[in-house]
Amino acid sequence: MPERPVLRLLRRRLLQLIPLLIGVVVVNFCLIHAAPGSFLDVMTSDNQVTDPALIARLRTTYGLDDPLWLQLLKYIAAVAHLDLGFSYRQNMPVFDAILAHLPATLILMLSGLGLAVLVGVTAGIIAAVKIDTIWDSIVSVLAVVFFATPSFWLGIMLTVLFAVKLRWLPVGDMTTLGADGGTLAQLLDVLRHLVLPALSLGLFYAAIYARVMRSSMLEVFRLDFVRTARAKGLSAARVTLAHVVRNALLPVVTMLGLQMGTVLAGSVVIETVFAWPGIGTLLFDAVSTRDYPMVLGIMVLGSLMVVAANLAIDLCYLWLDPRIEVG
Amino acid sequence: MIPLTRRDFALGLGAGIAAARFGTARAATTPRRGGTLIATWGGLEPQALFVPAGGGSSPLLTSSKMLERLARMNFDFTFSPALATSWSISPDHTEYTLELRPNVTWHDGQPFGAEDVVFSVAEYWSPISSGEAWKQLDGVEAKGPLTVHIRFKRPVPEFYFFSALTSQGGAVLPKHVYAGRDIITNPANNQVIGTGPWKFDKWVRGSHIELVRNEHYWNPTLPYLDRLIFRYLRSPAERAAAMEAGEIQLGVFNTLSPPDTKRLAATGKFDVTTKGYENAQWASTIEMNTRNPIFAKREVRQALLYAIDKKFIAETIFYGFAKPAVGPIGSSNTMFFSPDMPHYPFDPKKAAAMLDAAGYPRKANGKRFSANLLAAGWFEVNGNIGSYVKQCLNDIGIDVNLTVPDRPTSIKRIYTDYDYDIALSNWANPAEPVPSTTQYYTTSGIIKGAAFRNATGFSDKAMDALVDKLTFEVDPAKRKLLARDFARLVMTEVPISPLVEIESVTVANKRVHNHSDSPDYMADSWGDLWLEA
Amino acid sequence: MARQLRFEMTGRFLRNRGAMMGSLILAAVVLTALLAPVVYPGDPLRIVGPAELWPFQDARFPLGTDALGRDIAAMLAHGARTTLLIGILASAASTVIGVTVGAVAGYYGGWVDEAAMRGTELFQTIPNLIFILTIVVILGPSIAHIIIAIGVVSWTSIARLTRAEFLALRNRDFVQACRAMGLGDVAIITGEILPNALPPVIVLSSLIIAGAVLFESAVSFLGLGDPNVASWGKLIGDGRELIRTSWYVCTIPGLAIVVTVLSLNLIGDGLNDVLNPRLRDR
Repeated sequence: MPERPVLRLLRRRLLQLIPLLIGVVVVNFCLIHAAPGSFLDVMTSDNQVTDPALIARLRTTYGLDDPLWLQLLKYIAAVAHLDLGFSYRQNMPVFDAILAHLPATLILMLSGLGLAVLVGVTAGIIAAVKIDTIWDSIVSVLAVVFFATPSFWLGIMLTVLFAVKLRWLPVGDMTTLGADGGTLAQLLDVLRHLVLPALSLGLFYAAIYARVMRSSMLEVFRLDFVRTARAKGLSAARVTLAHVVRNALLPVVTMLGLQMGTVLAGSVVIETVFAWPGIGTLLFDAVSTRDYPMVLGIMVLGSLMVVAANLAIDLCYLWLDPRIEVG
Repeated sequence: MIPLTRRDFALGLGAGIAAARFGTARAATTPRRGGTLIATWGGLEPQALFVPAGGGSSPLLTSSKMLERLARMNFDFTFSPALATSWSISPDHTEYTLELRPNVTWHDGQPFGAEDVVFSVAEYWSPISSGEAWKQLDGVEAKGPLTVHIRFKRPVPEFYFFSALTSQGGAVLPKHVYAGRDIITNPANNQVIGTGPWKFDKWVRGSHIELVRNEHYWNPTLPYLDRLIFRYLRSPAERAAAMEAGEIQLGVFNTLSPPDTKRLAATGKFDVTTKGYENAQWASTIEMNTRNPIFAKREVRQALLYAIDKKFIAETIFYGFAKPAVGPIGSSNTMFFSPDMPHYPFDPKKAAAMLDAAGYPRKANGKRFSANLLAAGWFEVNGNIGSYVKQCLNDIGIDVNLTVPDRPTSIKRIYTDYDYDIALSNWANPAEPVPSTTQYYTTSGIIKGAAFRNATGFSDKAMDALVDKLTFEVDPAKRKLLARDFARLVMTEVPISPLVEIESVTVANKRVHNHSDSPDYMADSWGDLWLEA
Repeated sequence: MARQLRFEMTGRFLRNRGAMMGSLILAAVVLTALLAPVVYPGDPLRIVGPAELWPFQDARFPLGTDALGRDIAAMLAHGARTTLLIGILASAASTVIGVTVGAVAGYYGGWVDEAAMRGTELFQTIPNLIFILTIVVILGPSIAHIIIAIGVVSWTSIARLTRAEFLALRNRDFVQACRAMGLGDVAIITGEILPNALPPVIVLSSLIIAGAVLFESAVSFLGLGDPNVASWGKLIGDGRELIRTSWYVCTIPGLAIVVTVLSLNLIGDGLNDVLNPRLRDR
């Protein structure tokens, strides 16, 4: 991989990132402050605080007396130092709370996506290679169906079948309570809990990747260099694997980057279905208690993840096809 | 402390499981020392271990194991000693003198004494946690290392006083930890130092909180267990699975969904009880905004109550884990409950006739008037009650727009903006009606922005006078009569009234002993819990 | 467009088996939505029978009843109205926003384009469903707010597509001619370029309906829908507590969603084939 394009790309992307993140903060900040019912209402009513002096003191403590624009500026300045504020609901810094829940969400997202890529790309290759056979039809029908299935509903249906009726897999959560044993046993335990959520999240994307992979394979089959390779006498199978797949993967990789935000949002819903202890849990609690800093923090961090994913995708491009001018 | 030897299990009156009470035939065994108990409850992880200003049930569940109160309420609504061992009351009920327990130490080894109680009264209970109850406070001082003297401006009934001491806001705080720092934002709220049987060990956010045995607890035989763990699970189905697998042994406050509760009860492996919630009687309420001239008419308010089938709500919406309410003072509150109240049996025809008479006949389009119905979204079940009440009101010709806002929006619309015509909400009333229950009805209870008070705008001289009498009457027998009169007036005026009393349920593995042994069990210290081997 | 070409395109659409099947299914869904008030007059959320009646158990309730005793068939039929209404209006809203932004960006270019595209990127960066949920929570749960929320997150792809079309078209001869004739920018954008840019945009809009149906179901599933109307997602959400005993309450509305979204996707694919003949052989 050439050194300079990579650095140039990184610098460009990082420069673009700053106004983008400020935009995310401003949009969400304005949105959240348009809400009726401040967190102070929640806190004081929960705590039955009616003393006006105490309420006033709390307002000052949480900086709510500042005009909105000043609160916004202060927030942006803090975010620049990776300080996402203090969550009165969790009673800890927002950044720490998110960090505590992030691994669970990442595990779910990555396994869901990993599954989607594995299943989708394989199915797409099979369909393209065996075009116009029964295999092609099966893949196409399944892809169309799963592309239309809401993931949360799929999750519930899988739970009914595999957890409630067959009792093969647990209904939810990430670990078995009080389960002892070594690292391996714990890992297996998490895997058992991961199967259904990852399937629910991943099959929708597998459907997309299968379709994209199939058509981009067919596209690449027609390109000149494949014909040339064939003419050179390489066996058809080697042509398929070595050249076509690598080139046909580009659109899949593009989609992967574009969909990172969608996957994060999707995993938030799946988390509520399977009581998975990730960001979703945190988000719903934060939204329903008007924990502004937490909601903002999740939005900002979520957007950051999307940007980072896109950057990673761009780097993947350089590897898959150095000829592409990224920008 | 009086550990109960006889345990009653009543379940779901009117439900399929039978209203029968059945005692356990198990032989009384001696408590076993040691072991770890994992408990959970029907809600989420707390925001902090201890939230001084209240913070709801979740932080109360954790903090009450570490921080103790001066006395403990018994099932018969008498009081037994905790951090206070004895007390005396001046004949005019304006002075209370408390003797404190000797040789008690805080978890950090510092001695506990009168200064801690004086600090708690003056700096914590009165200004922060239970201001209404301490409104008449005149002064508090230490008369000795273990003697505290409290003076009031006007007579304070004994039950009222001890209700305040044993209330959820009555935790005694260590002065040496909190003095000189803001109590509400004090970091010690996540590193609680108390006198209780349990000491804080660790908190794995998103999962569980671990407490360990206090080796220097003032009652040397307690606690029996080595470790007490609170595990937080988001979905009731998940909790059901964990309890069935024996991973969680104790679940308080509606841990499971009603169908799962019935299913687990039927296995015979669990104790299912509604005991332990007598001092926190939950109810579903309906309130009508008297600022709207239609609902300012008493007859309209009464008519609406006739239009709603309380039994349907109890039996179908709550699966039998509720029963039609009688009045603002719950039926489990034997201290103040009276059954003979004006009541509103389901009778849509009568409701329609009353509305006709009140000057709201059906118009050409079949409607009498329209109303905004708000179902407070803090419990999911309220949305179902909302759908049902909407249907009931439609049937008598009232056009209804239903909204089910989330908790913050509900609170703001009901208590700050008064932006509703009819609201479906909840209350959890302690045994002592003043001030928690009465402030829904008094003129002084109208405080814009203050939640869980008079949001209906109802103001009535007779009501105010009656509550005033109830507040300062010191004779228990007379108080009971006054409370009955109050409840009757409430059920006549019905600005806000309970539809059904909700049965709070505890589910425990049969290995667990000594649970549910006080009238607000969630907020008890759980030192006497033990686990069969 | 020549009449002959139009015939040919219609023929191509009709020959597409998937598109035909999708159209038939969608027609059935639309018919259900239209007939719902006739077959099930009154409020579908009324409690009309015993709770948790299984499908086919009682002829009055062919699809059974839910936890409160509401008729699932009635809710399903009325839910079709809600679903289609939200899907179509949300797609329309996002198309209006997207076309406006894309047209302005593509026509003017320069810093306007740069700003518009940065804005588009911004909205693409925020995780979509999380954004929708936050908007709905903040504005309050009602059909109008759900439509707005879905519209606000779904317009970016339309904007990009419209911009690309405008970039391609703005320097064409006919546009230059209009400019020379002194036609105003608005007239050129709406009168000259837009009609030519619209066909691919319409295909995308039809696909956005499918996405909007999925978004709506997720919002309602999470309990943030309008409590006054029947919705498939809400039905699934309400049925979740019953999966051990009455799993049909979740299953039936879910199938309705799958079938509807499926049909919309098939139609979208069909339209795509018709309007982009280059791809038709796939």
